[in-house]
Amino acid sequence: MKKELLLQVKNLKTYFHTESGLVKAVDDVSFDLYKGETLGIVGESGSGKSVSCLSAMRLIPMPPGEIAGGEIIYHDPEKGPIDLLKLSIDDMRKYRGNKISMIFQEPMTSLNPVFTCGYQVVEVIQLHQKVSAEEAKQRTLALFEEVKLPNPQRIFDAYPHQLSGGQKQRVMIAMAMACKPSILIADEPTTALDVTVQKTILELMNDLRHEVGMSVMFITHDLGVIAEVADRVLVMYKGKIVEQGSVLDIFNNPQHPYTKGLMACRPPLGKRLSKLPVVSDFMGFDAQGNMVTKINSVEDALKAVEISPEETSRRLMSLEQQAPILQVQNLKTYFPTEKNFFGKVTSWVKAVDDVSFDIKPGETLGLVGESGCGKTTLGRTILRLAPATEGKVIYDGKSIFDLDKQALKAMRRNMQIIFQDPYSSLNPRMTIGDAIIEPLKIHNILANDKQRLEKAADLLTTVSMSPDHLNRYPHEFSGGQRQRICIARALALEPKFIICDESVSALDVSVQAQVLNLLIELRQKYQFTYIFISHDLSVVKFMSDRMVVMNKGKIEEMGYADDVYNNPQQEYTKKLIAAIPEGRLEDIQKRMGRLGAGAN
Amino acid sequence: MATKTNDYKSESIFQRRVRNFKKIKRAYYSLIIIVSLYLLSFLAPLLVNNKALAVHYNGSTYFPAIGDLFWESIPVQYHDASFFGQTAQGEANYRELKKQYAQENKGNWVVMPFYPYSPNEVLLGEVSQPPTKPDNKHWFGTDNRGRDVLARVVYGFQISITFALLLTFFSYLLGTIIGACLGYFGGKLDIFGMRFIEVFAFVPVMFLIMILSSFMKPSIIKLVALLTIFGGWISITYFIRGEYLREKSKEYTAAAIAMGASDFSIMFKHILPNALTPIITFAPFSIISNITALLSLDFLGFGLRPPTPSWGELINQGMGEDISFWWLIVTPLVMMFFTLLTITFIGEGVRQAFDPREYARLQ
Repeated sequence: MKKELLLQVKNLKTYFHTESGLVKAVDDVSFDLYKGETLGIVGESGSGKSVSCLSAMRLIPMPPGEIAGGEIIYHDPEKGPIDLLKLSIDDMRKYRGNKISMIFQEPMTSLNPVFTCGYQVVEVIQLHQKVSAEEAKQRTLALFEEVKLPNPQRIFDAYPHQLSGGQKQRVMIAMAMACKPSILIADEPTTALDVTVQKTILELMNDLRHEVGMSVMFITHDLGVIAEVADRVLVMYKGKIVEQGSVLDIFNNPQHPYTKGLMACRPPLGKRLSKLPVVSDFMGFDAQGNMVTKINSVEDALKAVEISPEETSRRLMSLEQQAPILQVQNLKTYFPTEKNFFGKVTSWVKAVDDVSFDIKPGETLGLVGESGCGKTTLGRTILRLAPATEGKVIYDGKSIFDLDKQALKAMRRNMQIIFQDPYSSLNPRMTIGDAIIEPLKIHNILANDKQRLEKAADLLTTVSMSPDHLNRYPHEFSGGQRQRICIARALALEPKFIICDESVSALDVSVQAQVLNLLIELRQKYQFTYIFISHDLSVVKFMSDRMVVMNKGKIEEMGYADDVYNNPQQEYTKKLIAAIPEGRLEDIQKRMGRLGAGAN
Repeated sequence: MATKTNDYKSESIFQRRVRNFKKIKRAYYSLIIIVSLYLLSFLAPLLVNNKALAVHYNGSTYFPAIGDLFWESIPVQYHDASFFGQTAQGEANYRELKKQYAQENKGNWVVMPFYPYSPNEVLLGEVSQPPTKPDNKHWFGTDNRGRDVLARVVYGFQISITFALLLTFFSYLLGTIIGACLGYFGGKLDIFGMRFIEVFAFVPVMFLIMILSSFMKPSIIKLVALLTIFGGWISITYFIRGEYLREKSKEYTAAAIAMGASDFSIMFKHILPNALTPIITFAPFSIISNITALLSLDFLGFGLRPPTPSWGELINQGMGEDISFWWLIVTPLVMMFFTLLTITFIGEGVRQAFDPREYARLQ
């Protein structure tokens, strides 16, 4: 394939002037984008991957942001090369949405809720092209057809809240495609979606690219997703590009230790590991701040932590012999949706519908399913954070729903929960120390606050954070650190049973691996019993001994984690497994081969 | 991301906002000015008073003005005119006493405050045909009963601000408690509570106060109580209820429930600090509206009982058939203008510092 240059980014520098000083979000980055290719940009949050693409659209809030230097040269097929950074705002608008368009991470907020989906696409078309309203509508319907939305006419008249996340993202893609742009920037377009939906969106983007022949810049923190879509890959770390090359080269023979770390930290599906390799296993910094390479190959790192199947079955055997610590019997949680005139409920949403299972002490039970399948409600119902409609939950011989206020308070000592969103689960007005000692105060553990703070310092050390963080506030920490603080808070009461409700879903893959390792370490140390809830089957499989697959409030399938993965019985489970982007070399080769054949 | 130095100091959101507020110079200096003026107004009896700061008579020294400090909480030192060797009846007239001692030249002396007139002192013996125009003795003239306008305006400032602060505080207290209960407990309490509030909000507060005050003889406490109960808290309740509805669904609330915290501790320890931002931003504007409320009531004659020094009452005096007594209107209006302007500046600054909204926009 002949490579035709489309966009050149040269020595781009984007800085942010924040309260804590100058942050070099993008620090001297140069790369090229060719016609018709998909360029994957990968890195953890804060690596500058989004900012470099937003700079190309000039969508940096100024102040505090500033594009401090560099050139972004767009090779216009008609007008020749143009430096986008030198254009006036009015001229820039002619490129935005028309030649370069963008899809964002959150389909929920990037569509305007007060307009119909159809209207929003029509608006984009009419903004850039002189066509009649009727023609714009016809084009919109054709676009909806193209992005494979079912029943385009209905979607045209629908408001964003009436669509599912995946459908909204398709509308966003249709909108971005409306003016047949030559560049599409996709900023984590599938991160907020379920794996099954992610798979269909990725397929759609691949198809569209070949049909329309546009170039795509695909930003993600997940190398697995990159393997599914990209031709070339840029790896970014702390505002700089650390490695770039074709997707095959990167996966076949990663050079930079950071890339190796990113590849190794995804929970693998085939093997069982005692812990996940993390980026810091591959690279570190010496006293002068220079990078040091530690482990050289991904295979070595994985081999060092692999558990043999015999060891796994021994663990399962010993767990099996105990009496269950928690029994869930025919649990139902219904939420009323409609009431008649007299307040009688006429229609229900069956969030949890007749679910039964039990857990042995020290066991980890994984709950997996798509969003809306009731897994979170199930976890909350067990802790009495959501009202149960019917059924029983028995913990240690006591029925949880029959406890009075005092007994429930005592019971809460044994059962804790770690939430999904590390940004909202810590009270922003309380210091970390206050947050951790609060459960101790409520339950009157230890004599005074001084002793409690000492305990809090110990807990911070347990979750590998520095004890002198006690006086700081949540907003001073990153997502991964906050999740560690939440874990420390849950540990304060020395519970026996912990529910992890999507506890790592909001984190980058590299940070996710660290938190998962911490949870495993704590399990070994304190013999915790976990219910581990996630939409990501690979994470659940890594963590759990047994796995429950949920769908529409009911249990689809239940069994040993490896059995469910290797030998799924239900169609639904098979679909979930097939949707996981694994980043396997063979798959990439197959895809590139198909691509080559298509081009010929 | 950001490089952190070793002497990095942690700060809460509130501390950061206070720091942001201090950066907004106009607002910060306005706050300093109004607070120091208000604090200074408590020392007004030592600055603007017809009682002497100190009297030296027959070898002993007396401090009559001290007694007026802090609403006469310090034992009043009342001295008869004859006590200091004056011939007149009633309380000693210290201005005359000063002249008398200077003439006698017996080693007795009097130190008068900086501006030797009191707000409620009727100067009929000294001025002819009040109200009189401003002159070098009475800088802003006298009112229709021969009382010094400057003295009345200065004391009126203290009363206006005190009234507004008290009213704001109690409205906030009541509104926060009610709003927190409605928002947090929700359900039937919220439905019936809100309906009640909606009906209650239609009570015409000003008319009600006028009717009540015509037979109640309102004091500052009574007026604050009436205005709190019939008006102030309602808008605060709306704010706080909305914030509670939002904050209670956040995961930190669920985390607190999961650790066994009581409703009271969740409502007031966890949620309250997160729910205060809108009402803190609103506070300066609430103070402004309370100052104007008192001013209008006084103007209409339904406010504080005479002879309490008040701005509204002075303006009312000036609004005769013509405005030949212009100083009675201009003086309190100018005072009010500067007070309200300063507080508006503060309000602007508070909003900018507390409202985390991004003021820059994408282009």
